[in-house]
Amino acid sequence: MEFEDRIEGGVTVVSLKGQRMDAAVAPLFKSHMVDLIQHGNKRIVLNLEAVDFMDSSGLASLMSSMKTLGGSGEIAVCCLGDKVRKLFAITRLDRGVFRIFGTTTEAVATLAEAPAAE
Amino acid sequence: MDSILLSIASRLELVQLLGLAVRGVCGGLPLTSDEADALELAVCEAANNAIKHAYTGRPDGVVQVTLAVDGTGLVMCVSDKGAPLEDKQKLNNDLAVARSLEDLPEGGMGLFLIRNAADSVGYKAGEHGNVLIIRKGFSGAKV
Repeated sequence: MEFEDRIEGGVTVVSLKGQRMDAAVAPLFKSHMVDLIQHGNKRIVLNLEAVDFMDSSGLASLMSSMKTLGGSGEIAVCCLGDKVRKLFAITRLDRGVFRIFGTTTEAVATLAEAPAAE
Repeated sequence: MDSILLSIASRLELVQLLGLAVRGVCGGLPLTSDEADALELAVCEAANNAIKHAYTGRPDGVVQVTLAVDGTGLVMCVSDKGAPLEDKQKLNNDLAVARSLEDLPEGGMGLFLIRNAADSVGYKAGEHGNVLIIRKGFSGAKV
């Protein structure tokens, strides 16, 4: 699993380059996210366009990253394929846990308007 | 009843092979694309659980999956020879909607996703190992 990070309007956009976000790669993803957060990146958009398969370990690594933020920022997701979107719906993580956006542009614009994280 | 036996070493990076194989089998069965997606996910979750919990991450175990098909449905038996599931109640737990960061579930989603994919889920632990039995009937078929 590789990641591409860039900053847009004060928002960190992380694009996942692998097709699978599963138990085999979740620890690497979690480590990457913790590193970003500890370096002050508090508003993060995850671009999941390339991800075709996600399991509960992938979801757990997202939730762990959210907990690492501790309420002083936000992680939003965008560009979900059908399978991943259904997974968020089945596990009810689309109900106020993660904001889901159709495009990176929309996600960045929304998070950029959010109050600065402490 | 027709059946096929799949087997991998207990390494997480190999689990995707089981998922791909199940997806391939499902492609030849009267299942919808959504049902095939859910069953692919279910077998991966079951194998992940076997590797992470039954074998506690040891790479020298074996995870076997038997796929059996008859006219009414598909049965997937995921077996290992590691430690048995201690809390059987986890097989039945539902997921609550998280209201706060603290409410976000730490685990248990895998079994929830397995149940979501199946019509029935059973579990047996014995001296010859553990087996999770996942049954999915064909839409419109008498189950």
